[in-house]
Amino acid sequence: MTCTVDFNIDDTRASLAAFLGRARDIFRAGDGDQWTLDCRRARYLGPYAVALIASCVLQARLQRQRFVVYLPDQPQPLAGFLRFSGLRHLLDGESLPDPDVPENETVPLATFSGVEWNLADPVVRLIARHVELSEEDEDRLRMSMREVIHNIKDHAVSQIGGVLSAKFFRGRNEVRIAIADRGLGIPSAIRRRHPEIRDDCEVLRRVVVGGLSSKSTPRNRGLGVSNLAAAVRACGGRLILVAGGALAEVMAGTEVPTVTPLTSPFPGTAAFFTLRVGRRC
Amino acid sequence: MATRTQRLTALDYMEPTADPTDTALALAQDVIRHLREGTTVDVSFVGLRGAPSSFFNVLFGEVIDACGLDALDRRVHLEFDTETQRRTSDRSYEAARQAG
Repeated sequence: MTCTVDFNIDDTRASLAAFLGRARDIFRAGDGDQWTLDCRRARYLGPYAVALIASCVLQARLQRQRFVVYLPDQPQPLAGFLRFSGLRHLLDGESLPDPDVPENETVPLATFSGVEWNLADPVVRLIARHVELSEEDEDRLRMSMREVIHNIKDHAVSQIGGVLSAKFFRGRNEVRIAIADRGLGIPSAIRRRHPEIRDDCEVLRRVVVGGLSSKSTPRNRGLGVSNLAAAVRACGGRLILVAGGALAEVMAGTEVPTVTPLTSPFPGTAAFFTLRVGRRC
Repeated sequence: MATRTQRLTALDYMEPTADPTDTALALAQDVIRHLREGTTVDVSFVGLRGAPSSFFNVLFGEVIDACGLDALDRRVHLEFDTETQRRTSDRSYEAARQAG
């Protein structure tokens, strides 16, 4: 099957939902299936799209699917971003540019299965080259990433582990981070302990508010996602959480998440969040 | 008789390649040891960046299981250097209290 993305995936709720719907056949693909993802007509793909596409590629390799991904080579800023993002390296083995060149604002794709303290180091290092990171900024950034990473380790049962993509937007003093897995998805994980909560949207709403736990580990209290939401609110950022058949959005200045059903479920969990950071160096 | 106070620094337990919950376990073991010896424990989180809720969940859970909630409330004092730490800790602390 061929999935064509002829629009920009511009890190918004609407464009993410549109991509998830367009790529539904890829998400449903089974062992040995064949698919093509054609993004050549998109004129913007950001870190959120990179993480989702990378998760499809890694899952496909695991399931021995035959696939082709076409990426745009225009405009030049997009082509450059896709090289620095590591997506071309993942797809074609193309050599990865040096991420430490001064003008680079993109963190290369990272996959992980552990939860080491230093997993956030590449993101922090890159941002710190561009802006002065306060201790609060750094703590908030590391904690936010870690809450998602720990959820993957504790609950996801994702054979690809997790995928991380990030980009710093210098003009906005904003970092956008996407972390995706292809595991159970939050609703299914929660229903292992709470089978009575049938609606994926209700699961996501309660998880964002906090206190709903799958108890996958004995000490789990269901606070990770709500801590992430609180951090996002505290710095004027935004969180989009996709899991199973639901999408939740948290904006600064709002206490209650907006949760909507997805037309096609996502087989896993993906957290997309923006944090405002620092003063210019 | 004045109660002795032992100061522990969480950053001393942190290794970059370690799992934060393992760090929390190691820290909790020393907190528990000092509490059992009758001392008050000051735990400083100054300089520790990115401690997630699972870190504090393990720390507080272990101490409560070993020494009780009252010991955690009265004889363990926490020092933070960011609001993010304080907020994350407070939420885990409150959840641990409510759990028993």
